Amino acid sequence: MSAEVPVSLPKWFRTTVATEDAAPRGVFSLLVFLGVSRAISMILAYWYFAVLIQDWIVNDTLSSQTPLLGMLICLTGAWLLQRVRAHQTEQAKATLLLTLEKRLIAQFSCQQHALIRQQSAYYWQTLWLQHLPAIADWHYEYRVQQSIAAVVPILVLAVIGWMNPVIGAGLLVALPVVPLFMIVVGKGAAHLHQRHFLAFERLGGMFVDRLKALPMLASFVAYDRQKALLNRASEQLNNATMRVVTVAFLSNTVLDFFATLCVALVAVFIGFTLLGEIQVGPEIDLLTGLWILLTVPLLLSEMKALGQIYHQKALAQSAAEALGELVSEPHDCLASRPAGSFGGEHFADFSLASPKLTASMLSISKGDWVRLEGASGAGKTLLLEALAGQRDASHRLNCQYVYLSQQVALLPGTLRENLCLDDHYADERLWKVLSQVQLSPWAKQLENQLDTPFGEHPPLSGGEAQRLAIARLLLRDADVWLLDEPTAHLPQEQHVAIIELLRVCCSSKTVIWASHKTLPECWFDKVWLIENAEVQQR
Amino acid sequence: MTFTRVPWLTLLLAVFHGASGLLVLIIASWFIAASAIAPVGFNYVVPAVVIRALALIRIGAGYAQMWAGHKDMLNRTRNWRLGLFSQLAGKRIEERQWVVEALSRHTENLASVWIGWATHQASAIVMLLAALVTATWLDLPGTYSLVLLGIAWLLIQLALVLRGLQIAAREIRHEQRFRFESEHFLDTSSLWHLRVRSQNGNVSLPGAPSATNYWQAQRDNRRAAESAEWLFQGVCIGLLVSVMLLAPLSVLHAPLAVIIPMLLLAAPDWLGRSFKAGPALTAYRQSQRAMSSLSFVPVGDAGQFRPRSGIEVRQFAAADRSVPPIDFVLPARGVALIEGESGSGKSTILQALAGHLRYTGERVVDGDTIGQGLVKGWIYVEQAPVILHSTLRENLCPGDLKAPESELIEGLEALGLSHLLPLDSWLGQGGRHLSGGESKRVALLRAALSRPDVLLVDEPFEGLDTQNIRRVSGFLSRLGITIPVVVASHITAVNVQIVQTIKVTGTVTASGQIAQRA
Repeated sequence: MSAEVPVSLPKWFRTTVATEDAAPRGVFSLLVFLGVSRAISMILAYWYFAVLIQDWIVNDTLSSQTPLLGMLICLTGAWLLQRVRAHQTEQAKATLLLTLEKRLIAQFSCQQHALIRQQSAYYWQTLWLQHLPAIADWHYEYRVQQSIAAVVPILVLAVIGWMNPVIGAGLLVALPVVPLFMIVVGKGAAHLHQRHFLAFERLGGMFVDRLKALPMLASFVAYDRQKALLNRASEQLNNATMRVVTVAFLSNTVLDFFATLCVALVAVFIGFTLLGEIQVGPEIDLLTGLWILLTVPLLLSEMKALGQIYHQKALAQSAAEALGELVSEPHDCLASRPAGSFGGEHFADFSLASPKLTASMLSISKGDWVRLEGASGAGKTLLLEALAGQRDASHRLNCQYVYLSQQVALLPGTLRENLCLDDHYADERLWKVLSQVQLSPWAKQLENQLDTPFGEHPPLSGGEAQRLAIARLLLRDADVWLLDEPTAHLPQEQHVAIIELLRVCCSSKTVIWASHKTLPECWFDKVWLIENAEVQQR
Repeated sequence: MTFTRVPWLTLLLAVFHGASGLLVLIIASWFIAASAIAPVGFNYVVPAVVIRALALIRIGAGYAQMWAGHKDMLNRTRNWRLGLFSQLAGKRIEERQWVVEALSRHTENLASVWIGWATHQASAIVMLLAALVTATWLDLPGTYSLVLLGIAWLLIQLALVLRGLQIAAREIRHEQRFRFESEHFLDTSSLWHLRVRSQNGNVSLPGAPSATNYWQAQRDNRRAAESAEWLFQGVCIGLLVSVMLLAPLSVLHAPLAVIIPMLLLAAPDWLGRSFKAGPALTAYRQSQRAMSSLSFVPVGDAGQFRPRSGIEVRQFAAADRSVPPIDFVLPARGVALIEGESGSGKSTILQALAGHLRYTGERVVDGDTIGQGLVKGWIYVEQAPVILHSTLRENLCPGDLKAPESELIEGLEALGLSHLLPLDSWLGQGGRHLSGGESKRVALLRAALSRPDVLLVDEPFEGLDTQNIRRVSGFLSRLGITIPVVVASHITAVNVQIVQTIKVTGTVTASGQIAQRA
């Protein structure tokens, strides 16, 4: 899932996310346009403001209507444009988020348990709650601001240069130095971060790690020692962080340096020109002087705004690495295949790329019972998942199937909900399958029978839970049953009872059964043995 | 647990940084205006120098403020974390995983309220007051507008804080709901193949939760700050236009008169930015709430007992777990086996026996009943043991008791773990990740090295291949020569001499009555 080589964020976004109108160019351009328009509005407003001040100080007249109205219109325009942009940004982000969430769920629907079981629920929650919004924030805030920060300085430079080529030329020389410095500083900070990478990686999660280990620490009388270690680790981590930020903050300071110095030097230059101390370039009056003074900060203010949301880039980078293909449009998904009945399969050169698993030939006819053998970790579950279509293998079963795993999944809802899931079945049908799995006496003594809620601690033993899971599958009328060590967690007598039950329930089905507990050999038509990542049919 | 020390240096630097930036702009505009109508002999050197000096002060203060603020924030984070950890001596956190994981973020939020919120407000207030005092002192036309500006700022700020609190509560609620729903959804992923629907190529998964409500609350939080800032900008425009419209004659030919319009024009920058910090305060309040609602359970201390003749339990069951109570006697030496299917309560019996869980009934050692709480030296090895993010050595000897290095290495060899050597190799995040089977064996060795009086091992064989099952059972047998070892397992290992078998087969019926089915 996570890429070995850090992916280029824009490229990943273009190829994975921005397909099928997920992030329309139009919206993006609109947001940039709104941002640039606001800057233009402000430049005009500054002009009218300077006109008014010129009237006060130099022309000795009180404010006339026209420039006052002009200023009001331009300021209000900028004010409204800002609101519209903020609103549009949130809208666009919400739309993109909705798409991302939909795609994540669609990928979950396709890869199912084969994907989810690889990580903890907490991992998936983080992916969902934090990584998805990180992508939306980066695209519609950071990237938009990046474009604005590229356009506005050029615009400002052009008008100032047009008004006063000398100041314009001075700024033109100074301006490219800013990004240059920022790149140098950024590289330095990245280098430092790399040098302390191991410290960040190892010590960063230590606090939560020790919190989780509290009961163990109590048993081993290790609390005091671990607290001292934690203290030392925090100290080291803080020192390493300070070393990195000491350089990283320079990037901000470079911006501040140029922004402030530009204002100061331009002011002094204009003042001295007005006083007649300097005579370079065109004549300057208070109007143009004040206007240039007000406009110069716009050169760098958009870049400063970009600096304030710079963290979005780092968040999006780690989000992209974690999400990978999970937010792409799913294609060739098992859920979209036709629900035909099973007529047998013949797979030549079956292969699963990662983790590697191959078979030169696998065949299964309708009604076959196949026993899947192999040491634990050999890949029995992988093969079942690949056949089920939850993994991207060369072949899959092209029909409805049901899958029974070793851990029974129970919902906190009622017994009925646990049996029906999202479908509806008549009560008689439910009681029939319950009696098939010999659970009806148990279900009858439940307080509300079918409508008894399970809650966090369901009132079932391991064997009963597995029977319930079988009842749930019997309701589905599927032709193929994939059994993945359904008795692995049960003691011997339960194991015997459950396999007998499965023998009766599935006598007319096609069954592929993985087990490393003993099963009667006479039940099976075929054996598939997995050894060294290869499946052999016997 | 509060850290009330005010970071004066950071606050002061923040004020310097803000004020010097504003002063550069104000003095520069006045300087230009004054130069435009300068009488002969106007001293232009001083203002020009002051402008450049202020520019340098701003740059320096900006860097220093970020540096000092960050250092202060990191120190506070450390203090919050160690403070919380200190509170937890002899306790355990009874919460779900995400609540514990979130503590890392909460401590950061608590620590960064100064740098994230307070410094912005402090510099806004100081600049506002300074502007007001200066304007009154110079008797500038339009000073009234600064008073109105201040009032507007205060009112909007108050409204924002109140709104933030509301949203904080909503955000927490939605997050909790999503976490709860998604946890059940993700935990039952093995059922999804029965639930997936497809229609015209569109795949859907009924019962899938959505984080939309949570994101909406987050969005509202951001929008509240944006709206406050925007509203304030509107006020600034209104005040600026009215000041210029209602200007008295005294503004004519008076360079000082540019100050008030300039202050108002730039107000969204020097005053309005403080609203952007709103979400930091909301996060602070949220984290404060989360920290104060953490529930800890004290783990008592029952003392230290080395059984000489044996351990007996009477009518013994973990409290609040509604499993039937059992009776059994363990000899002072040898391996005993607790048998039973999953869900029958094997683990809880072991945990209660060690004292990690409260129990009903009695624990009796050599004829004496002992109290609730953890017994020192009775070590419980979990089914999925905790491996610290630390070195292998630290994982084997997490406490002060240090076994000789040769014993560590021998133990690792006996359990087939020599590939993990050297002892200083790092395990967990940023190092080697152990498989389930490796974790079990490391934890077993850790328990053995702590010289336990009683060893309680939960499912030691699960997920191990036959060779390792043989190694582990041999290891347990050797420990059983000197101390009682209790193993809960549904896998019967071949080469262990079992001195006693305890069968647990009880579950509870839904009506809450206890059914014993032996």
